[in-house]
Amino acid sequence: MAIVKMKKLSVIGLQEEREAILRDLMSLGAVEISCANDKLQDEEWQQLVVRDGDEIRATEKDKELSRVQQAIGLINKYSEFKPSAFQVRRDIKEEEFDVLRSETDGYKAQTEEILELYEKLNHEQQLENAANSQIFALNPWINYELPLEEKTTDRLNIELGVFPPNTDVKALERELEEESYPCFLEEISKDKEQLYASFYYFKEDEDDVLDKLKKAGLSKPTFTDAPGTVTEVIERCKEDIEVHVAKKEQIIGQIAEKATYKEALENYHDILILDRDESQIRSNLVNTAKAFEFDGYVPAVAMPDVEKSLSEYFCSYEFSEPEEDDDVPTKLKLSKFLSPMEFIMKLYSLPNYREVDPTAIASIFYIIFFGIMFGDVGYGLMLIAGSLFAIKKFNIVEGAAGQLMKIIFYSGFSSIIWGFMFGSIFGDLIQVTGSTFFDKSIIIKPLWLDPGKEPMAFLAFSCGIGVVHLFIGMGIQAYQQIKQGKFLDACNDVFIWYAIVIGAIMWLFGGSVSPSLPVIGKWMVIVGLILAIILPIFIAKGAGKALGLWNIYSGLSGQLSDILSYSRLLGLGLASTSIAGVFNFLASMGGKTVVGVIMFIVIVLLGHLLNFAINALGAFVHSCRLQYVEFFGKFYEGEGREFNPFDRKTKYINII
Amino acid sequence: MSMGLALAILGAAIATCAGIGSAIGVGIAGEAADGVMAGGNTSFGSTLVLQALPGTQGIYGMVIAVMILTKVGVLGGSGFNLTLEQGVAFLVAGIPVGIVGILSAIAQGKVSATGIMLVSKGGSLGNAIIYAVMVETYAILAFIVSFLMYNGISVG
Repeated sequence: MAIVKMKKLSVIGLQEEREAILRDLMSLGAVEISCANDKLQDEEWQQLVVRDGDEIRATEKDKELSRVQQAIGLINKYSEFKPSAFQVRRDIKEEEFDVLRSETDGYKAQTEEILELYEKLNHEQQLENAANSQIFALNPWINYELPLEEKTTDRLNIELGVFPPNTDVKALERELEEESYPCFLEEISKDKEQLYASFYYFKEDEDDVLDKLKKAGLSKPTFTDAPGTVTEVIERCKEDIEVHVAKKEQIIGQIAEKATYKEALENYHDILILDRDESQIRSNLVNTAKAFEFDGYVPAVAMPDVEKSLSEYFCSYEFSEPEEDDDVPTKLKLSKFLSPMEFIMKLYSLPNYREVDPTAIASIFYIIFFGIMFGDVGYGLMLIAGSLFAIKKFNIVEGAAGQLMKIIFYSGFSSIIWGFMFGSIFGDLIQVTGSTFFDKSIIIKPLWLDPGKEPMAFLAFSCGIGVVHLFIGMGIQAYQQIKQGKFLDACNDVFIWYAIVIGAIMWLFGGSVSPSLPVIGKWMVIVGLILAIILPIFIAKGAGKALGLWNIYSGLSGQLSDILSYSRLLGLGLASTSIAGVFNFLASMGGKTVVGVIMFIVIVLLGHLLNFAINALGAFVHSCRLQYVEFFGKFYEGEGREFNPFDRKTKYINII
Repeated sequence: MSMGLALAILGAAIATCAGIGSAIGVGIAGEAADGVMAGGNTSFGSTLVLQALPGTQGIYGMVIAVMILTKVGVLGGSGFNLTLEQGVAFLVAGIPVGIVGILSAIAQGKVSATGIMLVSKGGSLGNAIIYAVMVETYAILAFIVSFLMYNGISVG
């Protein structure tokens, strides 16, 4: 469990070999190429080199990439090959891939073919929508019998119009009559929002009549003009729609037939990603007229491989130890069992390159704490079943999601163990079922203790395990200080506090074990406190020499609050089992009747599901918190930058 | 019914009042969640987790309440004849989880709401949760204290 040792790499090569070198490094995937900004700000460098880069090609490839993604999306949508929710990458041999890479023109044509079909599909869809809205707009006029194109006779104008729903057309007609503008108005239909009417009037009255009607709320109908009666137009639209739907289906069929392209398009997608990344990485290179240069980091173990591939070219390269102020990336070296725990470290911050990697210790305590807080056999089984289901069914193995699933699996395992310790299986579900429905009193004995019955013992245990956890954290701090040659600091910050805390525990609680313990404890505390005052005089400079008293105050309050913080193990442990118990109790209140059984099942299912969700989240978050705040607070710096090698970030294929 | 029993029931009522805080806290966080969801590009799941965080206090309160009611025989019995002292003791046992629950859930709701803002601006969900959970510590402590008090009172 450690942080992988890194070497710094500088390479100078010839321009004509640049592409080949970069391609080799990419397939090796072991070099992180650093950004060239620092160099370009340095005056000496500035005189020699300019930034390399090919942003235009990178953007082009990006655009093409999004088109391919769209095409793949269309195939997935319309063909019968449904993709699984989580992709498993196909293996492809290096030589095969090189062949594929030379065939990109064909892929491009295939992409265009699919997107063209899609455009046609969209066009048909638009026409269908237009016909549909025409029908919708014409429906209120269905009782109007004249052809729509008939808008005038020799002397009359015939119009259709929409009025507010409460308009009285006859009254309107009379008003116009009185003003000597004869006009015939007829209501055709009416709904909640509008009244649909036809009207005709003498051509010479046009302005006055329309003026008057507009005041009454007249507006134009929303359909588009078409020849024929309303029923005829609607019929025609319906026929059109049938045609468009048929065409759409035909096009969808054509797209579905292109499912055979899918593999090719996925290859093309990944080729484009590689091309884009190759273009993008060039902004990290600097150029002279004939040569290029870049720096980077390589894990020490990968050095021979990198050396082997670089030695094939006419280039100069050098490996060196990273210097004090270099921004070295972090790569964690974890066993297979602990590798998912990287997730929890990343949630906080990766360790920086120069510190101790606490992942292993934090992981073990995380698993233990989760189990104590969740502590229930039934809930643990649910976690295990859920995580296995997700891993098998959706094939979540890679990436952060896969790591989280494995953490949930471990957490479930730990919950089961602690569930047996506390004698909790869905709270006291079995006992309650037995006593309510079968008149039997079942007793499940906890292997260790029942937190609800012996809370004080459990509180002592919680704080005790907390002290162990904290002491390990402080031990790491001491180790780092001693490594830097600050032995006195380690004494001041760590060892005297070991003495004070252990002494205080012996002083306060040791009496019941042996009468001499409190005496020893008392002296340990006194010696510790005296040292806490004296040591700063040797370590600190200036006013810091008098800091001893302050150190005692802050140290005592800090230690106390840190240790008591572990009482949350009791709190959440109690919460999960007692809430389960409360739901079981409420469920059993219906008694041994038919209604009682139904009520029992419903409340047990819902109650436990709620309790499971809330406490699983709570246990996860609070176990993390105990690592982040209490444990890491003792020694951890973090702020590590993740090692991000220049490699093939393919999505569909895995080149071997 | 004895005065003591009535006081014990009052204690259960006070404990349940932690739910007031949870309702307010979940409400505050929910408003923030609505706001950022309107802007798109935030996942529903992450806002829901943050909104749910201030909900625990109400549950702690309910647990203490049901445990008190069970112990004094109101639930699943006909109620014991408690002395005045026992009744007052149960009443007092309900206070920590009730009052700390109300205040901490409101405070936690505010932190959750700002956490939701943080997530919507691309911040880490993990960090937002941890900040919100810092507040919950005190509700847990109050729950433990209430439980220890409840546990220490002997009946019958």
